[in-house]
Order: sequence, then C-alpha cells, then structure tokens
Amino acid sequence: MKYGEGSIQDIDYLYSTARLRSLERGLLSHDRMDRMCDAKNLEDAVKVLAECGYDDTVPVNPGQVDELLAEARNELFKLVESIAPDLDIVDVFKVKYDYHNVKTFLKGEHGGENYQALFIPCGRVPVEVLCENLRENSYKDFSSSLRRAAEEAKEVLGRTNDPQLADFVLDNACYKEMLALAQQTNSKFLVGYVKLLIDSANLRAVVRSRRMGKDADFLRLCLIPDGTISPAALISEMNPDAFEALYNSSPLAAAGVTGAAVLRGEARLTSVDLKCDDALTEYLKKAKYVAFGEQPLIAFLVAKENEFTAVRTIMAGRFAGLSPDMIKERLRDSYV
Amino acid sequence: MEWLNAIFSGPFLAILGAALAAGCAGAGSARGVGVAGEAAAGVLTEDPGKFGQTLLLQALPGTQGIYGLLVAFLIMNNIGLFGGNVNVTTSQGFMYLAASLPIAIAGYFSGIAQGRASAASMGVIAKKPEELAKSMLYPAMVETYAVLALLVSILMLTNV
Repeated sequence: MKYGEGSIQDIDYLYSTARLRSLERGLLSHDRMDRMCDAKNLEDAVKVLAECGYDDTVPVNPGQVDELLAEARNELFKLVESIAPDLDIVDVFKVKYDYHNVKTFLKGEHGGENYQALFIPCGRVPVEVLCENLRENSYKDFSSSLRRAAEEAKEVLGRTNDPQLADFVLDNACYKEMLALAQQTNSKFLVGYVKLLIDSANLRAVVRSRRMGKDADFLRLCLIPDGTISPAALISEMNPDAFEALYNSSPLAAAGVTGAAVLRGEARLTSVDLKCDDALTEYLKKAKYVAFGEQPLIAFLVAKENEFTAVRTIMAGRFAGLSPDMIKERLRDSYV
Repeated sequence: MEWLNAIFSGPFLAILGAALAAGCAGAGSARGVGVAGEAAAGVLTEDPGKFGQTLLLQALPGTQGIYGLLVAFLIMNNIGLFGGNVNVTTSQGFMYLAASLPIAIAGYFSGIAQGRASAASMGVIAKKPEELAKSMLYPAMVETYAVLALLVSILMLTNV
C-alpha cells in the first residue's frame, strides 16, 4: 500500500505518531548532550544516557559503546517496523545498510582483513544471506539496483584495485535506490529529505575534492545526479562566490557559505559537514508541526540515528580525554 | 404506488428525520472517538500514567452522538411515537425531517473534525502533559458548531 493513494492516509499514522511523540521526550536533546559533555565522570554521563532509555552499564572502552549503539539501532528498526503502516518508508532508511554491508564485504575480501565486526545488521538483506549471495555471485536476495551495483563494484575493484572507486559506484547506486523507493511511497516529505541528502553529499564531495586538488573527472565519478542542484553546475563552478550562489535559495545556504569559506581557506573542512547535518535536521524539524502522518515517523527515525552518532562522538571524546568544549564543537543540532 | 404514499407520509418522514439525527451525528462521533482513541493508545503504550488525560480528550468528540440522540428523542416524542398514536401530516413530516438536518450534518462532520483535533492534542499531551488545559481548548472549539446546530434543530422542532 502506498501513502496518499487512498489506501494509506495520514490517519493511519495516529497510533504511531502518538507513540513516537511520547518517545521523543526521551531523545538526546541539546541540553542532555551538554550535560553528558560536562559530566564529572563517565558514570554521570551514562546516567544521562539512562534517562534516554539506554542501558546504564558504564562502558569501559569505545568498543562497548559501539555494541550498545548497535543494539539500540536494532531495537529502533524493530520498533519502527512494528508501528509503521507503510514499511516501504522504513526500507528507504534500511537501504544504506545493504550498501554499507556490500562495501564492507568487498573491501574485507579484497584486503583480506577481518571485517565481521563492521557489518551493520539493519539492512533489508540479512548479513549472512548478503555474504552468501556475494560469495556465490547469485544475488538472488538482492534488489535489482543492489545487484547491479554490487556486480559493478566487484568488477571495478578487480580491475582497478581501488576501493574508493568501488565505493563511488555503491554510493551512487545507494542514493539512487533511496530516491526511487522514496518516490514510490508518494511522500513528498521523504522525497524532499532524500534530495536534500543527495545535495548535501554532493556539497561535501565538491568541497572535499577541491581541497584535495582533485579534477573534474574525479568529481564526475563521485557526484550523485538526482539532487536539486545538478552535478554539471557543481563541476563547472570553480569560483567560491559562484559556488556559494548555487545554494542561495536552498536549505543548504549556510552550508554553501561555509563551503565557499573552506574553498577560500578561511574555514575548516569539518565545519561543512556540521552545517550540512544541521540543514538536514532543520528540514526534519518541519515534522514537529505535523499532527499525524509519515513525517513524524521519518523524523524520529533520523533523529534517533543522529542521536547514535552524537552518543558515539561524546563517548569517544570522553575516552580520548577531550575537553567538554572540544566535544561540543563536534556535535550537531538536535531534533528536540 | 403504495410505497410512494408510505414514503411521503408524515410519520415516515418524521421518523426518517429522527434516524438521520441519531445516525449521522452518531457516526461522526464514532469516527471521532475512534480516531482520538487510536492516538490515545499510542500515548498510553509508552506512558500508562496519562490514561486520565487521554480519556478526557477522547471523550470530546463523543458529544455529537448525544446531541443527535437528543434531537431524535424530541422528534419521536413530538410525533407521539412513544404513546403509540402517531398523527403527523406530510407537511409536518417534512418539517421534522428538515429540523433534523442541522445536527445530522454538523454532527457528522464536526465529530470527525473534533476527533482529528483531539488526536493532534494527544501529541501535545505526549510531550507536554502540563499543557492539558490548553490542548483541550482546540478540539473544544469544534464543539461550538455542533452546539449551534443542536440549538437550531431544537428551535425548529419546538415550532413545528
């Protein structure tokens, strides 16, 4: 069933929206993040996490934090799938894990390293099945896009020996499939989000590539063609002012300004990532004003994934002995 | 043509009016209470302590059904249905039917609209339980139009 075709309507999201609104109270707000950063010791920081529904066991190393977050991610997808009237919407967010797992497998096999711990078991294809399909070249459990991309990435990796080129193939296909799935759900909000995701990935890629002195051919490989700003414009605009102007009327305007500053050598590369993430969160905040519908569900899913990143950043910072201010600098805007 | 005569008979038209008042307004309330109930269940799953607050919001769209019932009773009483001696002319029958329409129509649509507003207010309660009074006001505003329709239906009935 698809949203907006008469079969699934906003009132089908009554239960899920109300339930998620309750759960939003437990999200890691900016205030809670600050408390975690400023906490005197790890125990106090974990107490804040316990308020957000996490386990209150104090981790002794970053690996344990990753385990905690992997468990929380599994729980998140289980919850969202159990209450979402349209599972296609959840699939849009699971796609990236399929592609991540294919990348992990190919790189691991190519480099001969132990890569088992790097899989994220939240994709549409279970990790064991995915590995089996890739080993046997059968791809019978893959979507057609995933199959094409996996075959091409394997071929590129075998031919060029360059994992980065294989990553470009998979990243491009991942965004394309996310957009195609989002369009099938008929949710304008979701399509807008995925397009913004593509625009922000392109913006980061352009700034990073230019800082590294890469040429237009490199950009052609890594830019994704389905955003609101065409890769052709991004490849041709070499002047920072013109680059900034491209984003003037986009939600990424602030990221564009920072990107131009990075190109001029006036700002750090990480500040672009931060502005892009903040723009995405700003877009999601529109869901706060929707009484019920798919928007709050999408926003909750992304907010929770952002929360995992924030928890990892804070805990890694604390383990590394960084000052609270240094950790706070790295944190993104919060949905709540 | 006996059935045509039966349809245009005063008693039938008056009873049709009573049926529409109770049926349409009741259907509106049923949908409204159902919509609000689904949202209430969502809040309750995570926070069972909010049972009282959510029940209050869920009950709001239930009033249209009561108004419809009231108008239906008035019509049935006026035409003497309870006494077993129904004596209504065709013209009076049409008047009863017309008098039932305000609460039938406004009751149906306001019930659904109030249910949606109540469900939206559940979201407020979920996040900010201290704002119950304010969040109740929004769905309560919809009630105005159900009350106005009830008033018009009653005024019409008393003058048939």
